[in-house]
Amino acid sequence: MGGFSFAAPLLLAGLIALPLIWFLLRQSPPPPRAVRLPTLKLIAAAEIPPPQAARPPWWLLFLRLFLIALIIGALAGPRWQQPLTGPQPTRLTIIIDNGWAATRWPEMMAAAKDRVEALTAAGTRFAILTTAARRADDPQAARFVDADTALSMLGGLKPQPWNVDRAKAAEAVATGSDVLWLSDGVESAGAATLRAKIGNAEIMTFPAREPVFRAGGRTIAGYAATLARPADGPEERRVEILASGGEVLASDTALFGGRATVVRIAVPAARRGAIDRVRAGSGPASLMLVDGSGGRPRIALVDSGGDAPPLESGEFYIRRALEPHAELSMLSLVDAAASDANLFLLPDVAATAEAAAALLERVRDGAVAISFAGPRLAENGSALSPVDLRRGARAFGGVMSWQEPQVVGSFTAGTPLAGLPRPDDATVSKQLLARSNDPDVQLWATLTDGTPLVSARRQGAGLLILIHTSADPSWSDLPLSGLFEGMLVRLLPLADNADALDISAGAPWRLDRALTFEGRLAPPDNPAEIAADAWSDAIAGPETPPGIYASGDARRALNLTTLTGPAFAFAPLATDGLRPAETSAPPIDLGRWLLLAAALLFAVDVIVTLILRGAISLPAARLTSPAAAVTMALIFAFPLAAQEADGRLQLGYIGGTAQDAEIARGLQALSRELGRRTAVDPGIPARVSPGDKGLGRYPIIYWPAVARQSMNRAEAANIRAYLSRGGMILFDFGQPLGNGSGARRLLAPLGLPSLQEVTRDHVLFRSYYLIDQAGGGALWVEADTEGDSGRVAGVLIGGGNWPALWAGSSAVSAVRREAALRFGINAVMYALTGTYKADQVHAETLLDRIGE
Amino acid sequence: MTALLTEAERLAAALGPLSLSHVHRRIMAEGGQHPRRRAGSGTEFWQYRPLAPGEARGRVDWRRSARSDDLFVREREREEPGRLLLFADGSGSMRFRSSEALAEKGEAATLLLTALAMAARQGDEHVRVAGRPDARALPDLHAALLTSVFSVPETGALRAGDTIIWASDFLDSDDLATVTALARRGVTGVMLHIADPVEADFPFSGHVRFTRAEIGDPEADIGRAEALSDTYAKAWQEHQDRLGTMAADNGWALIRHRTDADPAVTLSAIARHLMSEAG
Repeated sequence: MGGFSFAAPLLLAGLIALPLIWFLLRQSPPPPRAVRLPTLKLIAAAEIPPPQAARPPWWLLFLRLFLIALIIGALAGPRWQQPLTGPQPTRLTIIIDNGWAATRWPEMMAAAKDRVEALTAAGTRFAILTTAARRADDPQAARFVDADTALSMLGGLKPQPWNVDRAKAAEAVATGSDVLWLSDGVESAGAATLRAKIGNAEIMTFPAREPVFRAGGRTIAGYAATLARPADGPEERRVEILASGGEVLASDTALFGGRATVVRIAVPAARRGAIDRVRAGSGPASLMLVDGSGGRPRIALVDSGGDAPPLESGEFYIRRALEPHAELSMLSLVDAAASDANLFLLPDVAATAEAAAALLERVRDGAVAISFAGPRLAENGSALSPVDLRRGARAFGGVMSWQEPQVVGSFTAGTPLAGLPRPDDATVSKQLLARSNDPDVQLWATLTDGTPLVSARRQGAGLLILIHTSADPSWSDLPLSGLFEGMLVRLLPLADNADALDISAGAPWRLDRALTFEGRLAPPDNPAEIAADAWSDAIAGPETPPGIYASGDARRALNLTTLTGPAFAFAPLATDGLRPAETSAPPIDLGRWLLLAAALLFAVDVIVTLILRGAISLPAARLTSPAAAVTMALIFAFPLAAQEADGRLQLGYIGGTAQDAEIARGLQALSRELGRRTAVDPGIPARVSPGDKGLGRYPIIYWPAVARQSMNRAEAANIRAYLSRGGMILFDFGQPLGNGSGARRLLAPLGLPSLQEVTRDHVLFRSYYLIDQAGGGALWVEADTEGDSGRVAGVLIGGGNWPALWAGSSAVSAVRREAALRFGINAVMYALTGTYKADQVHAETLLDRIGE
Repeated sequence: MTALLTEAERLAAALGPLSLSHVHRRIMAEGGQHPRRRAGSGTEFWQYRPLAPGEARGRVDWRRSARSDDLFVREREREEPGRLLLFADGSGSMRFRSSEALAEKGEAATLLLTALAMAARQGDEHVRVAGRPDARALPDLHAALLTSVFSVPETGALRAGDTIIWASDFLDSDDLATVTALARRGVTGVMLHIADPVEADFPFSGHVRFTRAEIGDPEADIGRAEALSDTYAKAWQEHQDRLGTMAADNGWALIRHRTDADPAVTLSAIARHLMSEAG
């Protein structure tokens, strides 16, 4: 139905506690801010008001109470459910696909529960039907129940690791009821039947996204599998090979070019025996159980001692047939008996009784020896043959024979070879025959004329087996046919347990551990078994669930590949005639928003408390952030860096106004004259700002008052540092100094000591040219810098507006321009040489005396 | 401490040599001792120099001359009246700063006085810390200022003609009595009043608990500090007026320095005062 509801309405009773909280809050005002203040004693004690019992203001109390009410409300779990707008049926059948493809099971369950809950208030009765194939003794029928029962039924549903049988489910759908089909999105044989039955039903699809195995098996290097990808599945998928404990033995990424791909994963030889399962995703079809987890059988191939080329030697064909399935080692007869192999293959090895004694002992203890016939065996016989052999081989189809080569006749039922396909093309042209019919000898396979092809005899706990023809193609086509491998593979399990001979031959495979939908192995709910000769046709289903089957000690895995098959491809479910289901929006959990609001209020409370304590002040306009300063420095550093000349001396000037170009031109003119007339050759004048760190590279900085009329503390400190390291600044107020010049305001932060007017005797007027005035009124420098004290003035303060004169831009006489240039040159020289020319002050007198 | 010294060196360099010449000129008439670190008519040995032609034979120092072939004259250090004495209040109230960004009042005082000492040394003046005649080298002098523990200088060591620069917050009642006592003995000086911005502005509001800076100070828990600000401002102004009157009455100068102000400006004010006729 929907609407506003609480998950835990009882918690709302906590609101009763609010008055108590009100009381407690009033008792604990925020603690005051503690401050040291030495000058407090200036105030007479009588003037200090007595400490008052501080109470938090009423609005702060209200804020906190509201905050607590919000938290209580949030904990009670308020929810808002959007009501369904569609019609509300009286009876609703919910069909749920719970086959192997239902990998989005939690979403399907949530959708089903949402629908049931949404219709609870309307009194609708529900029937739950599942489509996964069911055992014959467990049919389902549509029973309509109320919402609560339906919910508990839904809770008990499980997806099954086998196919869906929608045709069967269609039979159970009751007529006269609305239908909602929660589908896994995979087309199946019975889907059309179901669609026809339910007509204009609602459908919600949850297409699987997990790739599934088509086939898979061990290879020489590890494991190979083909995978099919659903339409909207991932392009890449990690495929992992796991040991029984869950340890990842190897993994690789399957890349889907199209809808299917092959992945080959190498597993280190030492770990190949530990392979338990291969996983490509969640869901039972994305998992392959690997049988023979006890390890690949270890087989000793006894060296026949021949030197035949590969294609004519039996070892080669045995090797090719068995290498994917077993660990083969080529050994001599003696070494083979001492090895840990349990299965011995002897291609045409004529073993004498003495030589074979050790091996026979092993056989009696449970090993299996398989001998192949051949020329040597025909000549000498073998102690390891289950039968007493006639000397010489029986040949068919030769020039001296009137018999045709024989084909394989039949495989004796109840033996390990039972049920093998009978190829028409594999013929046997030579065979060895037994001397007598020993009743202990079993014939496992015969040729069409009834002569033995495979005979076996129990020897103690083990088996002796003879293949009556050779392992190389000289005696038969058998090694060239697929039957050869098939026969040998059938014989391999004997290596694990020769005792199982009878069982593995005839006993059915019984389900030992069933594969659950989640990919775990669990004890089976129902017993299941597969007849031994029906194994290769077995398909995973409700009667024969996928899992590990055992026969005696032998174990085999029944995977879902038996039902998907090697040609499997995801076919999207057709939805013609069905309409998409109305999805009810999930209930909105209001509690978290209430909690968020409470958190925000708490933050407000903290800030308010801090303000009340005075720890922070409201107009927090103190944005003297160092980061901003750094940023500004970086921004201004760029144009400056661009101006830097190639290490040449530069004159600096304070700029930043429209007059910059004019000043730069003046300084440029002065620089040019310096280069022409003196040994100083300055580069292009550089614009600087009082806060720059690198001022020290400029011997003299021209500071026009038009550019900057004041400086802040940091700039003043920087300028003072520049001056104390021997820098010099020429201040130009553009007019004779006086009350209107603003000199006091600009210079006060520098904290200059007393100044004096430059007199004719000052070294500044002698440093290059002998001049007697600077132009533009008096020029002021620090006192006591005339020259004899050794101190060099740091500031030259005047009002000559020199750059205009230097550049010649103002209409003045050449004499005045020359005078200004001479003063400029003197100033630069003074900055560079200091009091070096102080002795020149007396030159006039000296010259006078010389003249005398 | 080295950071303070470096800063003081920078300030002193910007200030230039500080000379008390005007002071000397005034005091010369009144007599007094003031070594000038150059040859003159004093009592302390200064240097030997060769006898100049035409100089009186009686000036020859025979003991020194007997050791070589030349004749030497023994020169004494020229002494002039007046010394420059520095004193920094070391009481607990000077160990105060209202925020981490500011210097303590005592540190600010030490910085100013050390820079003054450096500048005065450059001007060949005789500089000492009041009460610590042993501290002669600049680092010692600086350390002596920094580790001062007394709130008033020892009056006994000061003579007429001395100039004292006394940096303090002048919160102790002894301070003003001492100023009067010194002035009466002919000592001139500068009262360098150091204040933290918080002390001058009283920027408090809300619930504030004022704790004491030194033993014996009052404490107060104020519900609404902003209500007290007028009272405080009045008391602070009275304190300032008291100091101004005291300085004027005794012929001293009062120079104020806030710890958030530029020390260079304060220094130049002191230097201007010392080098002026009034100093």
